[in-house]
Amino acid sequence: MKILMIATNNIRKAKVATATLIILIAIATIFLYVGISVLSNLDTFIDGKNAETNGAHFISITDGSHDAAIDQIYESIDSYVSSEREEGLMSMSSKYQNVDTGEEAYSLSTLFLNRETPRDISRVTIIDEAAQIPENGVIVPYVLKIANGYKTGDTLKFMVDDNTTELEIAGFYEDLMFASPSNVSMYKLYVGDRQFDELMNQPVYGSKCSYSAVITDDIDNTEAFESQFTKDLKTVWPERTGSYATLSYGTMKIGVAVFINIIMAVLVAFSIIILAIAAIVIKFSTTTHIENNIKNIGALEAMGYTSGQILGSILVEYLMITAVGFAMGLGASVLISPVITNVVSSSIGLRWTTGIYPRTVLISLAVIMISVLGISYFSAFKIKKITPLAALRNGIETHHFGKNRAPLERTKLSLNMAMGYKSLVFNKRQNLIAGLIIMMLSLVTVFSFAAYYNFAVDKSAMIKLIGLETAEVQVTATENEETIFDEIAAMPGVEDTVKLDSFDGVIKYDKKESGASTRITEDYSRLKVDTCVKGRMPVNDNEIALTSIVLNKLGAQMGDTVSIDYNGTTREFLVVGVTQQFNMLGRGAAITTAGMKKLMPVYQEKNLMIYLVDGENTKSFVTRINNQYANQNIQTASYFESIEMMLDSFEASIKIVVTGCLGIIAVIIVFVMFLVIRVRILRERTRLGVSKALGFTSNQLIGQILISQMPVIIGASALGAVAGYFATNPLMALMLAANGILNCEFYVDPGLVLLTILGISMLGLATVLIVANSIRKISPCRMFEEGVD
Amino acid sequence: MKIKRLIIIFTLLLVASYTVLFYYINATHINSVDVTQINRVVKTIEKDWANGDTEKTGANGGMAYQITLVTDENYQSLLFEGIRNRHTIMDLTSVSADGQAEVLGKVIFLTDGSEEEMMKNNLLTMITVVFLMVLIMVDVVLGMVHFSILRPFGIMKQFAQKIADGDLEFRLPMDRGNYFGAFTESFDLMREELRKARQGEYEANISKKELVAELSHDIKTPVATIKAICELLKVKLGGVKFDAQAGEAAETTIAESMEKIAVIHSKADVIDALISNLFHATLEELEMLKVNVSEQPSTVIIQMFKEMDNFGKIRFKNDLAECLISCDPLRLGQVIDNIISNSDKYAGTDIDIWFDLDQTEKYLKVKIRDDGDGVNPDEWPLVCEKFFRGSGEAVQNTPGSGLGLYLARQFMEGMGGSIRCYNEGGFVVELRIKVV
Amino acid sequence: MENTILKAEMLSKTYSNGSIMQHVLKNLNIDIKAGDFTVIMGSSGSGKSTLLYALSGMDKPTLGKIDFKGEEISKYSNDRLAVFRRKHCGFVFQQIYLNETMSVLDNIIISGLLVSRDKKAIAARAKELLHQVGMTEVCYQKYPSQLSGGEAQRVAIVRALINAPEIVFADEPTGALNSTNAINVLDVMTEVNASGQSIIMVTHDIKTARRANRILYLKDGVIIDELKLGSYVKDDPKRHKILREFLERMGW
Repeated sequence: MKILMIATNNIRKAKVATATLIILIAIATIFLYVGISVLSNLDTFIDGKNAETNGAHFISITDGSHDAAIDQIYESIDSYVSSEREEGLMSMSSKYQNVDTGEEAYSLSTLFLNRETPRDISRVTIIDEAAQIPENGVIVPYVLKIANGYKTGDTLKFMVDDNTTELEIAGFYEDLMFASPSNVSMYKLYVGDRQFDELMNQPVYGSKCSYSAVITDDIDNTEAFESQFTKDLKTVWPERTGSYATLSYGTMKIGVAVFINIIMAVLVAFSIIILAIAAIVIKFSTTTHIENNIKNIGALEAMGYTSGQILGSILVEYLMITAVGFAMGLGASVLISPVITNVVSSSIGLRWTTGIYPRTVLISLAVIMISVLGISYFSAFKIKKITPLAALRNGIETHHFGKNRAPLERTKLSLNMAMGYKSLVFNKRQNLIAGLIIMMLSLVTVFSFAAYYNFAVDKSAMIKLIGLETAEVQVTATENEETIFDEIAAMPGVEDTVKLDSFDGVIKYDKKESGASTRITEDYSRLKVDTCVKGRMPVNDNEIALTSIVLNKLGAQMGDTVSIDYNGTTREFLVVGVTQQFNMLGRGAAITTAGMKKLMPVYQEKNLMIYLVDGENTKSFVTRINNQYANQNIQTASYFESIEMMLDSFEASIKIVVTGCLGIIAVIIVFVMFLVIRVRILRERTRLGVSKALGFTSNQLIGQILISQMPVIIGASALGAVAGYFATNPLMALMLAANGILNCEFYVDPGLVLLTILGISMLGLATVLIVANSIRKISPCRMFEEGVD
Repeated sequence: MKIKRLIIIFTLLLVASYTVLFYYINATHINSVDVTQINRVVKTIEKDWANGDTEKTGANGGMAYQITLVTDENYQSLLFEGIRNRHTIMDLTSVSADGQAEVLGKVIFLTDGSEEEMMKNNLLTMITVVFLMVLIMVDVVLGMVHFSILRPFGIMKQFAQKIADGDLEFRLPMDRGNYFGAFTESFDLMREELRKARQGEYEANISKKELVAELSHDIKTPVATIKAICELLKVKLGGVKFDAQAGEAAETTIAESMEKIAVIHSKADVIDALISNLFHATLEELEMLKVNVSEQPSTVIIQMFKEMDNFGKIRFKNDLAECLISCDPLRLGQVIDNIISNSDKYAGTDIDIWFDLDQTEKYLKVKIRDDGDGVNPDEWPLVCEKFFRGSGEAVQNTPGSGLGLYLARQFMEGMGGSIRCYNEGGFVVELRIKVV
Repeated sequence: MENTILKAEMLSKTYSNGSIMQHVLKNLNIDIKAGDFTVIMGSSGSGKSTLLYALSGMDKPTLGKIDFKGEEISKYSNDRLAVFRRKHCGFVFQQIYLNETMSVLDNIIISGLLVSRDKKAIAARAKELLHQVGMTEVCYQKYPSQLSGGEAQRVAIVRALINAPEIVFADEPTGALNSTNAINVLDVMTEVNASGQSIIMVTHDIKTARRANRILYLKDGVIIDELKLGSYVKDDPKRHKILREFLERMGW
């Protein structure tokens, strides 16, 4: 109890430091708790959501020509349990516009299904269902509600070329497979019987397809099912005579969660930064506490307290502070849970519910407690070494002076400048600590700005990271492709064309294998986006470049020889480079057309990327091509637009995270400066008093503090910001390392760096001015009485 | 503590050096031939070969190579020599029209083999450094063990000697971080318990005294009753009329009883006095008219007037000289309250106030004057007497107790000051407050 | 009265801590004449230092007023007081209070710079004064922690004198010094006084008090008596005797 008394007394004496710590710990708690709770519960949440509707484990969409064979393949796979097949309408070049929200039309492929078909797999549970579903009613994915602000009753314009049908939104559904267009660039829409028939009867809207959903006995191994299926299918499905697509639950789950995982990882990382700052504050305040109270400590020890008891009192003090801070943080995170729900839901496209997770509470409590108590133990540990006598004698202070910087006799600086400069040099240690904190924060600020800029303002670096070409239009032709492609290349308005194809390949190495989206082109130097980060892109027919994720999965390295199995033909390829990409979960490979010809001698590129000259309208170009080749079997899509659309859905999340980070940084800077100046004024009150006695006015003394403090603030923020300028990309790469990103080329605007320096400096200046104002209250002779009487 | 830290550092160092060694050896590529580069060179050679360039030796991309064809006579010997020298050897193929690859010969890259030698040397240095480090650490740890375990044992022995001699105040000079800290603590606890016992004894004493005080207070009531009954008896017995028969005997009995009762009464008085003495101290504290003189800034007077000034009638005629006065702010406030409310009651006019600081006599004069009729000059000395009320009509028609100015005088005198009342174009009260 | 430079009337100083008031000075009246060497004595806690600081304009009195050459400085704002102090007052403290972060010379120059901008002149005057108090050039660039107590106090006196103040206030300047250093410092102070500057000094030490020409004895915030020593020559043994008798009478 005695210890508790000393501890509460300490807290009462150091109100500011206590408040700072409580706030820091509360903020760290919010971040840590939210981050961990989302990270650790997302998986079970998604599984639970899927189980609710008996969601499909595997989906295949084909043109319907091999249904019987496909069913046979299903049944031949061990883990198969049941399947359902229904008819759907596949529209590859569809466009949408929500008339009511006033958004611009955007392109996205569509799969229409009949809402009234009875189904057991992926049952449709309608959210916000219209009281009466109209004839043209459509059930759309939940992500449109949460991320794009669609409401029941809105009119959704569905367009293919010049044909338009108006649909009315009658509700929303949740389905992991089609949760977010960022994952599968396709909407799955449910329409009523009559509307479905109407659409089916108009071939302009798309082609009939066969949609089948499969349930397996092991939800965690759906990818194995998928690869087995693809492998088997190739034996019955001749060369590229039709199209099919497969989706597996496992892949989709990872894909859906990847962005929210990144955001939450950023939160956790940020909470660790804040804990680090809290550690610095603890170290700082314990040291000053010990220095200021060394006589009291000595007296207590002389009275018979053991140094362990005193150390214990400091630990109890921080224990109480942590408990309060943690409770506040936990309360705050419950309060902000609607925001979290929104961020998570709009990112995963499923209705996330935030709750209290006792395990997460315990984990974050443990992390915070251990770090706070550990730091306070180590920084207060030197109490153990203080003997009561030494403490009572106020310690033996030894100053080592270097040479006299700026002797007043000769210096050109004004009086205040010189005094400020001297105290700046004298308070090296404190300044270093404050400087370090500001540097760290300034770096984080630049990083946040840069992240925001590249995610939300100029997305080209992000697109490069994703690993997609920046071609505006993509044309796929299945016949006469050479002539058509040559003609298109010669069209006006076309700047360049590249034949770029891709297929799902299986890469093998040393008995291990990995799927990879394998790109094929003649000459990689002609691509506009260079995804190579190590080595080089393939040039010769026996060369391949792989992403680091594929390499790690295979256990291979550059210089090893891997093999690709294609329809029974196996060829060896030498790994000559490492690439990075974000899409396809980072699983990618690249070979040359000559290399592809080794696998399939009759291979022809069927996919053309078209880069338009600046100012050329993508939409009208697509229409032109469609008109010109109306009688040919080609598909045209606005390629780049759909990528941009997909990125838009992250913008909101990133915005919230960045704004939050900036606000918190501001709070921390204010608190740290507050603390530093307060402690300095307390410590130097004798010197300040003597200065006042000698005739310095309060303004002069405030000016001196300003001069001694501002270089640190400006210098540290400048250093931090410049470090941020250089470190943003490595940091980003580090954060995305799990997705196989090794190298990042985010654009960091020098203007933002300057803005950061300026902003932090102004904030610091304001804080210093406000706190230093308490100098006015110091009376020149109060402190003398303490010494005399 | 130190030893714990040492062991941790020691372990960390060992682990670290092991890790460094492990990764160093692991990361050493025994065959660090740049396959990518070689593939490119071979592909270039093949292309050139197809174009008719059949140069047999050359260098490309910084690598010297030699080509030996299957058709060459010394094909085997060149090949084996290359293998013996650990040279890199690749197939030279040509692709015929039908897509079939045909091996033409080998491309031998001439590499040197000094790499293994270098690796061996590096390993030797690494291992030597690590072993030296471990050796030093072991020595240091042994030294620390001596200082932090063996030596404290000696101190423990001394401590045991002290305890045996009965010196309980002797503190074991060891800190908690040490392994023996736990012992020290339990001895400390022992001493603590002893101290607590002593404290308990002291508290028991106090409460015993309190009990006695309470009891004696309770005794007072029955004693009073006894005394009352005694007096009653005295009166009763004193009034008894004697007839002839009863005569003397009865008279004597009664006289004796009276005597006894007187004794009881006097003894009860003694008890009462004793108990009163017991309570003397507490009773004193209950005294009501006590004046607590303290030093106050003269500005408190202004404050008092302002608090009293409910009708805005008070006018300060001059500035108050700032000084320290000795007064009881509570009592002085009452004095001023009495004077002002008197003036309100009897005159109801504006009130003028003058301050005058007399530095030689060391008092502050406060003159309070209203514009009323004043008091009959004959009564001036009497106004401050107990229960005195003026003869004026206004006074007689107003209810009052005649205590206000009496109390004011009591208080002023208690504060070492004085009060004087007279007429000067209205009733004047002059307070003299002592200046420190 | 014509050469009175500092005059206090009914000076009181009260410290209040919540409801508890402590009157340290009570209705004091003091005149300081130009060229006076006044010593304030009294037992510990009698309010000597408080009086010194109130007189010097470092602290504002609670009650009463202080006149410096006809100006009522007790009404000044804090900043105006600071300006007043830098021009007219010099301070010497028991704890010396030199700025540890600055060299000897800089410590003096910062005070000088408050009044004048002419660095060269200040530095020259500082060096001259340092020479006068017996500090050699070696010390100029030393730091306070490298000086002995006596040396540091002499530097502090130079700092107090750099702006040629009318009055030097000294709070037990010899309190922390050994006797040799104390005599040294006192000699300097006496010289300063001889050159026309007034000195007001608080002390406990009879040897120090002997230097004064006027002794005020303070008890419980009141000047209970005053002794004029000015009429005796400096080395007159009578001076010491009278002072001793005076102090004994005061119950010292």
